Amino acid sequence: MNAAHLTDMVTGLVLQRRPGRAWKLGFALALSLTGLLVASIVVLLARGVGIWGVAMPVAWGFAIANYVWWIGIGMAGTFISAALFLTRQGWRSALNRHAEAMTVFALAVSGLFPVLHLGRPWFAYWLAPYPDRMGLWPQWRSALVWDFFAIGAYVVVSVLYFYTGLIPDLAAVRDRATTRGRQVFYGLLALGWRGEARDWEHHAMLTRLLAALAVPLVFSVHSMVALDFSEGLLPGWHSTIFPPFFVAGALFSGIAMVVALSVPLRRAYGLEDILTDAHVDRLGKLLLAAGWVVTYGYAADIFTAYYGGDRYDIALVEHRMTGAYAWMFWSTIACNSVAIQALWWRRVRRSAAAMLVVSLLVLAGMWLERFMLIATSLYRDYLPSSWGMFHPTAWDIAFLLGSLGLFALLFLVFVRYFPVLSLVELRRQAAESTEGRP
Amino acid sequence: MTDHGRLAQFVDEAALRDGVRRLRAQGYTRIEVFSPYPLDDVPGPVGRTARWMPRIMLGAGLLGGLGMLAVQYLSAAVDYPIDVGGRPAASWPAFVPAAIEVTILFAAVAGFIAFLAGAGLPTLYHPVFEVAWFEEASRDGFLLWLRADDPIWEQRRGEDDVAALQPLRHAEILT
Repeated sequence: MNAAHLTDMVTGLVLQRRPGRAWKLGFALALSLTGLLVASIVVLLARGVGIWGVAMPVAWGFAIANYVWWIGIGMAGTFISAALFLTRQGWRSALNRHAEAMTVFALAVSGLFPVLHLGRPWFAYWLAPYPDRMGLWPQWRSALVWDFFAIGAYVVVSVLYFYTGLIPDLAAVRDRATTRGRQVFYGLLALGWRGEARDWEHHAMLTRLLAALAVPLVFSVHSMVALDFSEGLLPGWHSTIFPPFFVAGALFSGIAMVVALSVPLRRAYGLEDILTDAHVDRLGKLLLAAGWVVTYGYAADIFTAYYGGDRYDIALVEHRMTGAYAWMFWSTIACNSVAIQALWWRRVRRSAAAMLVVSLLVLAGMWLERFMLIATSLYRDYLPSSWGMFHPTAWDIAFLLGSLGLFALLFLVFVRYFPVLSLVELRRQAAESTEGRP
Repeated sequence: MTDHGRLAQFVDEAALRDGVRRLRAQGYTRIEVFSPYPLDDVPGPVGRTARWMPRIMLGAGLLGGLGMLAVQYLSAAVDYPIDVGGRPAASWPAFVPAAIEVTILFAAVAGFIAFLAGAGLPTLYHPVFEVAWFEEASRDGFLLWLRADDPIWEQRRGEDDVAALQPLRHAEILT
């Protein structure tokens, strides 16, 4: 496919394609779930976090699990687009646009939860250092404050990175738009991009530098999330392996989400020539590798408890494997460590349906893992007198489903109104492959 | 009516490069090229470097990082010291995470602003948009604009020199 065809095809998806039945159905469902989320937030603001099942001793519940899960999903988008860009993996150019979009939307959803979990979300700005009348400052030793800076920086940088990549493609849509409204809309978003040599040079330089900044940033962000836990003195949380273990888990769930979005996207838009089986195959290999790192984390956790000999650590491991949440632990292992072994087979990695199933299992497994890590460390305290269970309420479920709805809504709007492939690199690749021919 | 110069479309990257080279050999200096993807080595001053961008980002990053360390030191050790289990008020290791994040944040934002400034964006209107087929530059067109404000435009008859390059098509940019 040459550059002209690519451009016409991708801009045509935005400008000419009428939304299909699947899109309309998905949109209606996503919109109603988002409505549910909005209603739940209103109830939460009116009545407080008591509507959730959080209570002593399990004071962190679904909200924190959702937060960690969503921010982890976001991480893989930056990884695919920035780390694979820096290592010159040309195949990423079929994936990076929707992976970056996934990052931005997952972050938007993720950021809601810690704020809502504050109890009095309208005081969230207290996390920022500013000279106030009370003379108070944030507690800089707290991982929760580090988290605030990490997420804030991550949101801004990933939006800038996503938008910088979009500018030339928005200009391509602008140049092909026929109605006045679209010309103005895409014209404003494209900022008047002309594709002049000097502009390209600045663009390429900024893309490189932002990629170089984004890679350490994503690793630091998810490490901060892990430090929220490992700064606590609870068995199962207070562990030095947490930051790398969380980063691996984030990558794992995020790659699974990229697969889960890529497979339906390429089918709906007929992108099989660009987003080929070879791409899904490579994602499958990445998924398998990340899954093994996560599995190593599980094993190291158990090994360290017995090798260290601390009775509370050993008790925690045994509670996890045989206690009230054992079904969750074993489901996690089944999804995250066992199911992915199918990816050793090339036939599985090349099959869209099989990849979709494995990636959905991994996504479910990673959510269970996040929740299991939170609940099992909390529900059995040092003192048996303070033991207790977590019982999710209908509102917990509503927030989880609502967050899925909001993410789906944002993604559906994106695939409908924005170019889903990064034209710049695909054009260059097309030009180079034609030049190479005899 | 103002004449802004001549816009020409070439069949491919190599033809565009050749065109730029020939015009420069004739003494033209004010040439701009437009392409659907970045070109590596366009001859002459059209390929001005963006070398200053990393420096701006480094400077902004250092400002953000050191500034954040300063904010944390001043607030926790000078303005309102709190004794937390006898830990020193200036807990430098604990100050590092926020400082790293703000370093990256400042560098990225400064880079984006530098990009907008360097590329002259946003500029929603530009005379080249007057030529209907300018939009080929965002498809697969390799375009060259010989500017009418070139010192030797009048004397050399720039439009004829562009036509002599035998481009796919060419047109005067008039507003």
